[in-house]
Amino acid sequence: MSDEKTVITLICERAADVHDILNKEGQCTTVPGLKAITLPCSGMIQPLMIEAAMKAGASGVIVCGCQIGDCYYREGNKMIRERLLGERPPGLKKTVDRRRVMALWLSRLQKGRFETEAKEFVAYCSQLDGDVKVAAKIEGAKATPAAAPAASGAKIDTAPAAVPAAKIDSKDEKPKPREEAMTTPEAKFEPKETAKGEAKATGTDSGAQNAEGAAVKAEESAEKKADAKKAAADDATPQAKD
Amino acid sequence: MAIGIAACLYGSIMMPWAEMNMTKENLPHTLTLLRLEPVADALDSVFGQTAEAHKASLDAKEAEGNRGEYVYAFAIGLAILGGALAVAAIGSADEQEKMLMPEKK
Amino acid sequence: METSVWTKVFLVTEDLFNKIATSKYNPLYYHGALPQFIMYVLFLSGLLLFAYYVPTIDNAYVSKNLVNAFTSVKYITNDIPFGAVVRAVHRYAGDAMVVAIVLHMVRVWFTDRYRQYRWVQWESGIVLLIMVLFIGQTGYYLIWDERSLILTRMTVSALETIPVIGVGLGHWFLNGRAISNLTLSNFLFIHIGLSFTLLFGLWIHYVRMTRPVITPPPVVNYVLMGLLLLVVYLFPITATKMADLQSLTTNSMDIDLFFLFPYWVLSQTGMFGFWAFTIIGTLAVCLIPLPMGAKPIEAAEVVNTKCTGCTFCSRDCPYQAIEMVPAPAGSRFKLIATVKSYRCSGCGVCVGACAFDAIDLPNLLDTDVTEKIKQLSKAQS
Repeated sequence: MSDEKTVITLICERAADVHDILNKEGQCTTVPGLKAITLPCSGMIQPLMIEAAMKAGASGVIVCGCQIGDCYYREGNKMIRERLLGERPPGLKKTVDRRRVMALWLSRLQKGRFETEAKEFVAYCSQLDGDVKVAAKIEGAKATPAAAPAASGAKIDTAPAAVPAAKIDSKDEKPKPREEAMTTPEAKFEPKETAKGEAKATGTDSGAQNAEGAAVKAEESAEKKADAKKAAADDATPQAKD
Repeated sequence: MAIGIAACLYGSIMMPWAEMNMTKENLPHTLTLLRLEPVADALDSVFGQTAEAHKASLDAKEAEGNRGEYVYAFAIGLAILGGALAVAAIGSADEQEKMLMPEKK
Repeated sequence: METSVWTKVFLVTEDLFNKIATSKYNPLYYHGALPQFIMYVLFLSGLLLFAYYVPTIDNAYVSKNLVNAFTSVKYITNDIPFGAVVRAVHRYAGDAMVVAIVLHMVRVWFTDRYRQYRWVQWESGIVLLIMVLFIGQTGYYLIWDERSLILTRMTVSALETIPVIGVGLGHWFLNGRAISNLTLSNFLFIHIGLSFTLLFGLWIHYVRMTRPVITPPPVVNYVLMGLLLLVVYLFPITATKMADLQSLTTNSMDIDLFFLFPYWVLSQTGMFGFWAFTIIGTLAVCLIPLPMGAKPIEAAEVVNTKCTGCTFCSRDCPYQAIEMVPAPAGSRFKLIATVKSYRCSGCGVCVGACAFDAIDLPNLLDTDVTEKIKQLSKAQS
């Protein structure tokens, strides 16, 4: 894993006009470390997409829509704003590090503001990454003997946990099933981790906050193992659609 | 914001003076009953000098109707605009264009 | 997308407003709500005036006891406390209404929010504008001063030039074959009745929008009222002369161009010019939402096998394009979403709301977007 992490921007076509500073691969030429994906409206952003970006290794996510009150499609930016703030379902999963998500509501001419804020945010996220690495090193050195019994305890738990999870679909009308059914390769990678490896991988989300409790970490890894099992079970579903 | 509040207060105090048709004479009977003549005198001393200017400008435009009422419209318009300015200034420091997520525990 | 010079001008104005007033209070973002608020002001001031207005035209003798439309208006202006102010507020709010509607039209046009799925809003807006113009014109007739008489006569002569039905229309307008008391009560009926019909027209104007923004923030309302009142002070109502049916009227009068511009056109260009202007102008404005050069919309599609009937997409859709219908027999769920493709804007807010990957924009699948996100996130690590 190289040390260069990227910040992903999900920007709508009619917000700040950045099409002339993006190259063909979506990289921003004036803000290094920033990659952009354009959507017709910021309201199309699913919180799932932000979670996927974090899991896949992004350092942070910038959501950029039109000025509040001026969405071309009337309400898209208000929708994603409320989803991010937790006022509207579906919401952002709790494990996503909220400090690494920023929203900008800019009009078409505010390219300059976008670049300034983006540069600042990319720097902030790299600083967070740096902190996480330092914390993880310290954690790794301390936690190895303690985590082994916790990790094995967690392994035992996953078997019964996976079975009820698969049944959630039928009754639950809330977003939970989709959010937990991560189809990222990372989710499958995690069960093989040792405590050290865990620290590095969870550095992409809220690892820094949980640096003290190895027990808390083990809980999270149990959740992720359940996710992985569910992901494996659910893999058939999206493929069946295509 | 200070300008807004000042304008609002100035306009508000001017309103009753304008309503009295900008003079101390012919006060409505209620004011006399409530012994508010000193208030009327005070208002007139503050705003009295402008009465002629208002009347002259309204006469030049051949306004129909009570002069005091138009001055009242001016006063209440000023007060409302001042209030709007003050209210707008209250939240003006809040960031509208950038949004950071609150921490979720 | 490229921006033309005109669009740049408008964008810069919008940015300027944002800097001065902050985006919370930018009036350009409430261009639709402002006419609605002004309508409330007009209803209220109009109601107060209506309480004292007398719709008759008797002036056989001008004496102290004469009561007709003109004297009742004069009474309101001079003798009712604040009558002059309420009357002036009503007049200038009417002008503000026309200005606000035209600005609303201009902004809707240059931000490209009038075509394809939004055509109902545009066409109903045209109807509303025409109704507002008629209401304003009848308002000027109601005062029954010399100007009102001229305007009435001009209207009748214009109506009579319409082939076949023209003379009949003229009689309908006058409520008889000559101007009488019935005429004025007809004007009052049109003035007030059309005002309430506005509400019906507004329903159609709003029906295809979810949560339409119809109230500007209080600060914007205060600023509007404050400005209106200052205008009342700066441009007070001036006295006019009562209409005299016997006299031959002159052609000069000062007219309020906001409402009375058709009469100005009529006086400048004559009957033919007037009808050409009216008919061509109305047609042109109605035909503006032709989708020339607009990208065809690919409506969202529900994946019926995945939809759980959670109603999030239906609630979030800004254009009332998703309806929840009973799920087919044998389904685990009670409701299923369906998209009304003629209302769909292709924005994707429904895709953002769906937690089950059950609705898609056919030209931009959310799974593709998520894949691309993952790809870009991993590229350097």
